[in-house]
Order: sequence, then structure tokens, then C-alpha cells
Amino acid sequence: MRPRSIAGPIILIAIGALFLLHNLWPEIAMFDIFLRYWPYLLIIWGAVRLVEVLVWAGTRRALPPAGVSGGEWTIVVLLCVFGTLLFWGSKWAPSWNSDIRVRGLEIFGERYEFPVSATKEVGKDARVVLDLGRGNARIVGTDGTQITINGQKSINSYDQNEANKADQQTPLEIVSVGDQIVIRTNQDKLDGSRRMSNDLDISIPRSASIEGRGRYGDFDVRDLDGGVQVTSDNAGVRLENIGGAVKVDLRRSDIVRATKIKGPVSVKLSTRGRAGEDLELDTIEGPVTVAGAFSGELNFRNLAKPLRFEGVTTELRVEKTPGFVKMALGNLTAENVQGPFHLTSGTRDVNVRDFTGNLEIQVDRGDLELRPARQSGRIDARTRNGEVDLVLPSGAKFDLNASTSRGEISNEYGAPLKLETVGRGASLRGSNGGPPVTVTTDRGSITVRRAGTAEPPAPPAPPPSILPRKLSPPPVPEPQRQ
Amino acid sequence: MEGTSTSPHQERSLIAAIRGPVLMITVGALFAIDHAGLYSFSTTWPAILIVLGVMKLMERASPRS
Repeated sequence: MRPRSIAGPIILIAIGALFLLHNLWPEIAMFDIFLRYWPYLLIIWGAVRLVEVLVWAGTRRALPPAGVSGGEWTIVVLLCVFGTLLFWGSKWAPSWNSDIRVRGLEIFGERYEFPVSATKEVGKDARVVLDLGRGNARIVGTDGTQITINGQKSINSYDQNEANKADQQTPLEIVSVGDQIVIRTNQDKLDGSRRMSNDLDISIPRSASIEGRGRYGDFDVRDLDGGVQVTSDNAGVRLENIGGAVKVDLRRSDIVRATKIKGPVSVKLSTRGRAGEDLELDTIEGPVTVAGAFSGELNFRNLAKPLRFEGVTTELRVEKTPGFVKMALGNLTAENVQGPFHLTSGTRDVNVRDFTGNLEIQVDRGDLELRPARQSGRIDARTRNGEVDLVLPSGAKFDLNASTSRGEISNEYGAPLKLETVGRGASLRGSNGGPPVTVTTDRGSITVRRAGTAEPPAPPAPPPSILPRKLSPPPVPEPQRQ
Repeated sequence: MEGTSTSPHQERSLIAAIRGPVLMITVGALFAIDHAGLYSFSTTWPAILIVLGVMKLMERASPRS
């Protein structure tokens, strides 16, 4: 009998594993990873077949007439066609690929640098538009009525002459267009494949507002009383001490940080792949809206007005956040927040402490740990697969209804709660005349405790794992893993 | 006929069997180079022809049965 290859089963296992990973952690950008690395699949596949054929030849077994069968070639051709099409498709839509090219700049010629500067007298309340293109801008509000720019321009070129010409083609300008003051780097006037970027320090009148547009690079803005708007394909944005509204609209980003903002804050990123990494919003007086796909950590701290977050599978609304809300891949921790608190999510461990007002949580998979403050409102928390740990403050008023369809309930609170076993699950009910508190899990155990009583021994935090969690680890005190 | 591992027939079919995997690795490597932004596939594709030619030559160079 002819030996049979192990490549088929291995591919089947790999595809299964990939889909499972994607289902468990939708935030991981499988698609982007595939786009980037699919050629290595071919290399590995070919190597496996090669080793097989050599081993068979070494053990003197009959060799197949062809090392790769016709069916396999069909798959390979399809893979090449789709991989290439999608890869170039994602390239034209400027995305992650653009930053790789910038980092690889040195391959294409040398880097020539030119100092740039410009000044212009503008009104106190100027509306400034910065057309940056590629590069970084640090913008600071100052007392005065003029715009001052200092910085440098980098041009990649094969020789000095070409670089000089490119420099002259792209003067840095400050011009009035209608009621706006436009700062232009004129990068689009550069022909050919030379690449340039501007690194600018800009000071503008304090009460001005600024709108920054860029393709790749960072925006740092500080000490402005007006509004700030940033639009870019790929940018890190850091804002501090801004009086007006903040609007950040990016395709991709490694960090968005805003501190001490008086106006409303809106951050919008692409919902494709790993559009955003980290987000940090601290001390915001206006309402906060965040939308997009983030792969890193999201931190919200000291928000006076409602927070609204929309991720790929997660939706969060919090009325007020005097404390903090922290989200990372697969978990959410909130402390000292005011309801209504509303969360729906896919796979996520949720830990909410010291909250007041109504609370509504629904997750597909994940453990819930809830510690309401003394004066909390209605609670309705559901997980389809995970443990629930509810810690009620002593003296709290509630009308509790805890139920699991498959698992145990342990009543460490005592009276007036009554435990009942129902089939393979259980329910725990009891009321002392407070608002309804409902916790439900389809699969997992529930613990109801009184705050201040001895907590169950803390197990070591589990290592981050892509596998489904086991059904019965005791509740883990946070922080779990950061 | 299958007495020794160095029989001409065995050797020739070994090269034929290796051809597919080697071709697959070549194509994969060319695409990987393309995606890394070094040389585009539209420049490097003749390498596939060269690899195929070399394999054919090796096949011919091994003695006929």
C-alpha cells in the first residue's frame, strides 16, 4: 500500500484551531495575521511533504508518483489567488501595511534632513487646519496671537540633488483659506516614490481650535481652550488640557490618550482587525463616546458624564465613572461607577466593585464578580457559561433571585435566602424588601456572600489561556492579569 | 526491482516525488518575499521556471533503467 501523507489531517487540525481561536477571542485579528503570513503556510506544507518523501525513500517504501497531488495543487492555487488579492486589497486601503513601509524607508535610498520653520500672525480665535501628511506634530497653546512652527523635514532620496529638489517642491506654508488658517506640508506635491515626513513643533494661540489631518504619525496637543479634531490613517494621539470638544477619527492607532478635557470626547477607529491598541481617557468633563476594535488595554478614569463604548462584540454604557473602568482582551474591571451600567459582551470576565444605580450585564462566556455598594439599584447579570460571585454589603436591601441551570449555588449569606435544587441546577431566592437582584448562569456555579466575611482562599491567577476555562475554579480576586 | 534503494527507477521517482514539495516551497518563499516588501512576485516569478528546469535536468541526469 502506498503511504499516505500527514499533511491533510494537519491542515484540518490547523483550520479547526484557527476557527476556535477566532470564536473564543474575536478581538484577535485572524484575518490580518492570515493576510500577512499565508505564504509561510505554503513553505511549511511543502517542507512537510518533502520530509515525508525523503523518509519514505529512506525506509524504501513505494513512492507516490507525485509529491503533491492534484487536489493539493488546487488548494495551493486558490490560496495564492485569494491571498494575493486580499493582501493587495488591504494594501490599497491604507492600513497596517503603510507603517511597515515607513519603517523600511532606509532600504530606498538615504535619508536627508532639512530644517523647516514658519511664522504667521493670526487672530486669537483662529481656526487652524494642519495638513500634515506623514510625520509627527506637537502642538502647544501659548499666550500670543501668532503661529510659530519649527521642525525638520526628512526626505528619502538616492542623492543630495534629488533631495534638494524634493525639498523645494514641498515648502511649509501657513495660508488663510476662507476663515481658516491652513498649515500645509505640501507632501502631495512630491512626485515619484520619494518618501518624506515632517516633524513639527507648532505653537498656536491658546484660544484657537485645531484640526489635524495626517496619514501616518503622531499628534500631541496640549493646553488649548478650543476644540481639537484629529483625522488620520494611522496615528498615535496624545491630548492634554483641552478646553473644547475632542474628536479623534482614525483608521489605525497604537495609542489614544486624552487627559483633562473639558468638552465632549469622541474617539472613532476602524472596526476591522486590530485597528487600535491602547486607549486612555482620564479626567473628562464631557460625555465620552468610543467606537472601534481595540487589541490592547482601554482605561477610563474619572469621567463626569456618560461613557459609551462600542467594540466589535462589546457594548458598554456607564452613567458616571468617578472611579475607573478598565478593559483588556477578555476582561473588564470597574470600580466606583454609577449606573445605569450596561454591558453586553462575548467572552469576558467581568468584575464590578462599589457600584451604585442599576446594573445590567450579559456575557456569553466569562465569570462575573459583583460587589454592589450599599445603595445599589436593580441588578440583572447573566452569563451563559461561567461562575458568578455576588458579594452583598451587610444591611443591603434586595429581592434576590439567583439561578443556574447546571451547577451549584453556595449560600454564604444565610437568611433570608433559601436554596433549592432544580434538576442539575439550583436556585437561591430571598427578599428583604429591596430592588430585584437577578443573577443567572446557564452553566457554572454561583456564590452569594456578605461583604466583610472571610473570602474563599485565593487561587493563583490562571495563566492567560485560549482554551475554554474549566468549569469550577473558585472566584478569582482581581486584578486577574494585566 | 526494489532490492536496493539506489535503483535507477527508485531514484527517478524520488526526484519526481520531490518536485511538488520543492515547487510549493519556492512559491511560498516568493510570496513571503513579496509580502515583506523586498521584491514583488511580478519580478521574481521566473525563479519558478528555473527551479522546474533544474528538477527536470536532475531527473534526466539520473541513469535510465
